[in-house]
Amino acid sequence: MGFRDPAVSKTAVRRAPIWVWFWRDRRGAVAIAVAVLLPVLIGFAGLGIEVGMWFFIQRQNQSAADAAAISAALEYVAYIQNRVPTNPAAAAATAATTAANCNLFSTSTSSSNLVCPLPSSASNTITLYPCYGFMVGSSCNTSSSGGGTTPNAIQVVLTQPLNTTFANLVTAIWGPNVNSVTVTTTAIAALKDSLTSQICQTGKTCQVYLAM
Amino acid sequence: MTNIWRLRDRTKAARETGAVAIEFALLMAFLPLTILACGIVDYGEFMAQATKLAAVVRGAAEYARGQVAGQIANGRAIAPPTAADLSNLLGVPAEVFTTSTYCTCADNTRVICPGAGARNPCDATADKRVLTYVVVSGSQTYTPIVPGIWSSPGPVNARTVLRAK
Repeated sequence: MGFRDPAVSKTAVRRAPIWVWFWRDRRGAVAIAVAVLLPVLIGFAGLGIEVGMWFFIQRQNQSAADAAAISAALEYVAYIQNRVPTNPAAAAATAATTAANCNLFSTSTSSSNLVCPLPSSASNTITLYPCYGFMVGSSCNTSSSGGGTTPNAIQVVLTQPLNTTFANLVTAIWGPNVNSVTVTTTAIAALKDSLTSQICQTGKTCQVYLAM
Repeated sequence: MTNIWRLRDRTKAARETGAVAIEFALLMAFLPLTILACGIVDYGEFMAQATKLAAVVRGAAEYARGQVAGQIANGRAIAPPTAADLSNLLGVPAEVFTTSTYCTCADNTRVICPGAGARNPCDATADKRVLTYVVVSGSQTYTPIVPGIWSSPGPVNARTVLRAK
């Protein structure tokens, strides 16, 4: 029984099955690794696009918030000068909604709006805060106790919830998944006497300035 | 240093060291290509252009609002700045901009903006004010870096409406 006995070697050198060959073959291993990792790469690229989208929406909403704050403040100016909208808070809320709609921020009440019709979105909110004794650089003081009887600035806060796709998948890797983010945008418009830059009062020519 | 001319003399495992690194290096040449070809770069460029246009239109709208508010305060005819004015101000081609104004009564009904000294069109409403809005629109065309099925030339638009009075 020698090493080169044909009867023995026939069984010993039998070709392994193809899947064993495939498993042992080291050629093209990186291509397979990349193919496996491609969903991860695409996931992070998608996350980048999605986060960029949030900031773009915030940028758009900033115009809407500014326009809403200006419109709301103009209602207060009209009230202070002529007492024309008898309820300035209600008039300001309507004016702010109209202005936000005209700058592509839809709200739940936009279907009744005649100026810029938009599909209504019940989840978007628009909230007004009259600020008393406001100064540029400070935050909005919503209590009328220390800073005069009429507000001298109006703060508008827009919120828009967004459903997430890629951020949902990526955050699910390590913890509770983030399936919604809220884009919040704030603007403040100040009411000023246009000649003296002092507080807007009855009998003065007042203007509205964006304060942030 | 490895003498590549002596590789034959080494074992199979020793010959294959670094092969993965070379394969990966070859693939790295194709990964940026997929990012370009799938329109990811174009998407980013499109968003950058849209954001810039939105910012420029916002600035233009604020300028226009100040001008129209001044005209109303001084009892002059309402004339928003022209596209040429905005072009001089912001250094952006004039054909990008269109400006207009519109007016409503306080109950949000559209009316024709009254000229200087004209009759108030909102006289019949309880609240007699005429609300004047200034509209600045911007429009550009985005030309993709890699035209293809994922990205084709398309419009970039921005619009800001601000109330002047």
